[in-house]
Amino acid sequence: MIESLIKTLLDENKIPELKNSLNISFSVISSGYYRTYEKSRLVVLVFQNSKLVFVIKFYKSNNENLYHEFEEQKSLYNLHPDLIPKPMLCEKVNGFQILVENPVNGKMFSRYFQDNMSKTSTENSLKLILDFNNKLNSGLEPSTFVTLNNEVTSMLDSFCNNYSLEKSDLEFIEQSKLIFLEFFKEKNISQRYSNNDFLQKNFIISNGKPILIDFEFLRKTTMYFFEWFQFFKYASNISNDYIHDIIVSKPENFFFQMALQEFSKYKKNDKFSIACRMIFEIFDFERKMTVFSKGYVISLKNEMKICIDDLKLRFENKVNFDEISDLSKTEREFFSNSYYKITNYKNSNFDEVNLSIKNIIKEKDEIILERENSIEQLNDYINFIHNSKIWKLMQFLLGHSKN
Amino acid sequence: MYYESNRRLYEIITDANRSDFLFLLDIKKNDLVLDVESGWGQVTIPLSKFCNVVSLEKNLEKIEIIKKIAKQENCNNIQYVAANFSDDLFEPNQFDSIILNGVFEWLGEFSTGENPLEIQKNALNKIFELLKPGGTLYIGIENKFGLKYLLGEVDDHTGLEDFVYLDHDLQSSIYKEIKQKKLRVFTHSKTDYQTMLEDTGFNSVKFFGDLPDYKRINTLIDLSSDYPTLFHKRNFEFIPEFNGFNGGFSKYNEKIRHIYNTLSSHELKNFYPSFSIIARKN
Repeated sequence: MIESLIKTLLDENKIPELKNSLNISFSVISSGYYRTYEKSRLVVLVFQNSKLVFVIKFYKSNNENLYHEFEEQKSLYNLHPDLIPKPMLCEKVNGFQILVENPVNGKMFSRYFQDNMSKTSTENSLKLILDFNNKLNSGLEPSTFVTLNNEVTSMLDSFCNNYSLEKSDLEFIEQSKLIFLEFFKEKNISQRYSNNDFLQKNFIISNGKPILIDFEFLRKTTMYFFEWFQFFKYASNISNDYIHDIIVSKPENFFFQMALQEFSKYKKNDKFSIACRMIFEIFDFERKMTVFSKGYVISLKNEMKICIDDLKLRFENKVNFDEISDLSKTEREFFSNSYYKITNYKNSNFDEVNLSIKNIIKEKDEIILERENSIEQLNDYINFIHNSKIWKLMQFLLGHSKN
Repeated sequence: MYYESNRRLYEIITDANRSDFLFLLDIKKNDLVLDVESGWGQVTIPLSKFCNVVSLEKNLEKIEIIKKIAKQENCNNIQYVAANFSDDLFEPNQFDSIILNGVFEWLGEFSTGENPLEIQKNALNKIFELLKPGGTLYIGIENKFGLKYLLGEVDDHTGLEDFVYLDHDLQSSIYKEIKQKKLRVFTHSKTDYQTMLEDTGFNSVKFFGDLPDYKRINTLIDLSSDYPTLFHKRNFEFIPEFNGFNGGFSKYNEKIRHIYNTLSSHELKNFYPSFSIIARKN
């Protein structure tokens, strides 16, 4: 099917840059396995000789939602032609709804990050994304507190409908909402397009500049600042603790800093950070609910319950985070973990043996403790008898009878 | 729920990507496609959205499950056959495509013949006969020289470490010694699959490298040219591979990641953990 699609696109001259259909090859990337079939997508990278020539996207279920995505992507492209790939067409080809966009040649940011792990490179890599974010923010439009309030309220309503909550959880979420909104009450509210999927893997570094590539969840929002929360929540290649300590001169972006703290060991227990995290987690939950299959929704709900409980504990000041920034320590931890991952296979069998030995020792300790407790109880009982009047009377009588 | 008691099996059964290879095939609406050993219908059901399907499965309970899913999904173009592939039920030149997804290596196990490798060869001959001219065979299967196996990862079928890359005679002797029975499940290398298919008469054989493997597809890389492999190796994040026997992540993943980076794309094409193979009868 994919080969026929490519052939039709070329035969009908829909990709004007391509003069012939010689030496075409391709690769196919599937969206997450955790999705429902209806929401599953394929991205096809089409190559000619040694060049990526165009990209095709489609839903496996031939879903026509792509039209909406195409229109939104076009609007964003018109605002920022240097930040995202140009959408070329969206139409039915061989009966299948597809979206075609211009290729972006370069390295996925998550890979770029991983390939450049020195302190300077890490700092420079982050600066690229910060600059990108600033450029997006240059297109901010004025909005109102009412719009923000409505956006937050409808999201929380949907969450509470999708997820049965205990009374204390509902109260905590309501409290978080109030604290969150209070912060914005006297501020200028803005909105802009956000792809709502601001992940490292959704950036490609092309000619030294980041290009954002995924627009499935693209929409205008007043909560565009949650992009940083997504960025650090789903960062897997470099530890956020290490990033936190590397960035000597902290950027002025308030939400960048807060997100980095939230997803590292440098969390703070101030009410707004906690409220913000709560609202973000609901925002993220709701986004995933639209695509996840049933089994994964269960897992999502379990994770959410743990998250709410943790945030409640922090809110009540029952968990303390008092880590002091120490680059040499986090750097050591990061690289020794990296080496441990490589050599882990050597230890895995020993780990299993060690675990069984530890369990046996634990069981023995428990038996010894149990016996010690029994002996102690017996001694107490004997002492009690020795001290009792009856025992003393018996001693007296026994002594008397001997005489 | 099943997800909580056996998460690995749940993921394999419900993985929406498992049948993504179907988009590599040129299937038309009126085609008749045979899905061999269709299991729980992970291929049969999505396939029926493209064409007419014959779902061949020896286990009646599994057929009942597929029927229920098909009813739920409104799939009315599936015929069910409860039999083994070796039962010789079909007439020649009948199918536009035949699908062996995770089946070819097991053919020796499902048949009573003496030599499992001969059984595999005979099965290819039979498939060639059953296909119409221009028909397509799809095979989703492990690569015995997958880098993870060379590093010592357990074989997906026997659970033995440092085993699957050995030559078949040595595998058989070791297996008999350890398990006290005859080894009947065999996988091969890219070159061997190519030779077997060409010897059968297929004159167009195309390979895709499947990551992390054909059972849980994330990326399918066209191996007809070196460039797609080079592009992914250079630009993409490493996709963690699995221990195909117990379903967890491979303990060799970090090693694999570093070694992939050192191999040339031409070399790397031979070390993918598994392949999607499309062979055409012209």
